[in-house]
Amino acid sequence: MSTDQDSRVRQKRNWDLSSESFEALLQWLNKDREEAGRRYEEIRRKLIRIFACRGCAESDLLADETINRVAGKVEELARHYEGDPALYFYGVANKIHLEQLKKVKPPPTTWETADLDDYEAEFDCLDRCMEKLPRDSRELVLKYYDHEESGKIQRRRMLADSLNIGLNALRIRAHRIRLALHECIIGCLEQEASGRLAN
Amino acid sequence: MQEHSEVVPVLRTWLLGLLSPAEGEALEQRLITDADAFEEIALVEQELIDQYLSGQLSEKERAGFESFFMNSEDRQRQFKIAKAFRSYVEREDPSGHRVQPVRQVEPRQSARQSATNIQATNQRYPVPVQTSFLATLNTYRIPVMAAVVVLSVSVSWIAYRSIRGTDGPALAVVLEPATHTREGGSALQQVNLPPNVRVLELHAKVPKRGSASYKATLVDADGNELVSSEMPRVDTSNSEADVIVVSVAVERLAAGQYQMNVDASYSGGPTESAASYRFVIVPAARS
Repeated sequence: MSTDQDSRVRQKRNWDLSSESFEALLQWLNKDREEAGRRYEEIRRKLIRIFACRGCAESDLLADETINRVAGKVEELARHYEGDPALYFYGVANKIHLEQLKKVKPPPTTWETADLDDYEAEFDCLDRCMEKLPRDSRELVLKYYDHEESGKIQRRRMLADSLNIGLNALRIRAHRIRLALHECIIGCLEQEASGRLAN
Repeated sequence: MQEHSEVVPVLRTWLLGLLSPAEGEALEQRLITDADAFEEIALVEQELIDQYLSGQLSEKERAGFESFFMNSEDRQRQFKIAKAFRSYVEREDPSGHRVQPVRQVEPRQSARQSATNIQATNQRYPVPVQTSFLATLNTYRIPVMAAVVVLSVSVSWIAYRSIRGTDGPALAVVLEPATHTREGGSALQQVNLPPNVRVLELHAKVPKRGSASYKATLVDADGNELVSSEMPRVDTSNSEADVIVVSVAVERLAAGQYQMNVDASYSGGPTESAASYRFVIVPAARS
């Protein structure tokens, strides 16, 4: 959970990456500026995910810190470094993570099954989001995630056959619909929360 | 995204915090350079949550899930959405046979209404079909006591009329824990199924058990399991009891005796029987 202090740290760190450093970083990533921008975003997104999967609470802050440090050495890197820049970012990220581990650890996020039992708001939003799905997507996701365990593999195989795709392609397709639903639910929950605040 | 099945087992282990540091570093290097492998993370995360909810993780995986994987607010939010999704799928297709979605009388009201709320809704929107009710069963305790216990169990019948004409309505029945007499007899609740009802929603109250999670199973008289729900919908709004909700397609319910069992378990603790409910399905005469 961000505090005011965190927010100030974040602002300072973002400011550390000056426009000159940022331009130099993009130039190192790719000569084509547009492609370099995509690459930058991709690396940042991956660093955030890796930090988060390691259990780091402020994963975006750590990713930004990684980028800042790499940007600080970018002139040297442009001259001497060979290989995929992403791997260099990764090495720096490891170093930052180790530094982080030496600091006082924040208490882990605790959870109780019961705390997560109240999903009424999520259910209502899901109900609305399902209505927005195209019919074929809705049917696919309901069939794919059918809760009945017995014969599940066989049913999925039949579903894949009926769509003329492989099982893994079906898995990915169902997952993408689920991701779209997830985004819709998050948006809906935020809308509900802001509506409550307005009232 | 291409097929990356070989990376999935390693990803699972990594996400659960069970991979060695060296293996973890090798995987992370791949993730940061391989876009397709990276995209698998979200998929595997979702599958882990689903498998946790359906009790498919091994003991070791479950421990990693609870102590490591869930140590993030984003994942906890994802977990709640997954539970809602699971309930939704169960409601839409409780039997594995396609049925039309059961619409609620009030579209914006939660599907996890408490029995009280359902009754209130029913009063506001009188449902002509479902005024019926309840049954009594006389249980005779054999020789010694020679007592005849007749117990009337009140049952609340509530039905929803579909807002959209083509959808079949659901019938919600509030079950009470099987009542045992001092003499050892028990009273069976009778459920009359009107012919137009397509989904039976069983609402089972159990005394509150703190942070317990529930598993509900519905078996017929021969012991065949009709429904097994690892994470049934739970209405916690009642201060004294949790209401466990299980839906089942009426077409799966022949006339006869059924038993719904609810087990409660605690994180990392034992599972115990919370209650069982026996009832008899009686199809209504068709007009």
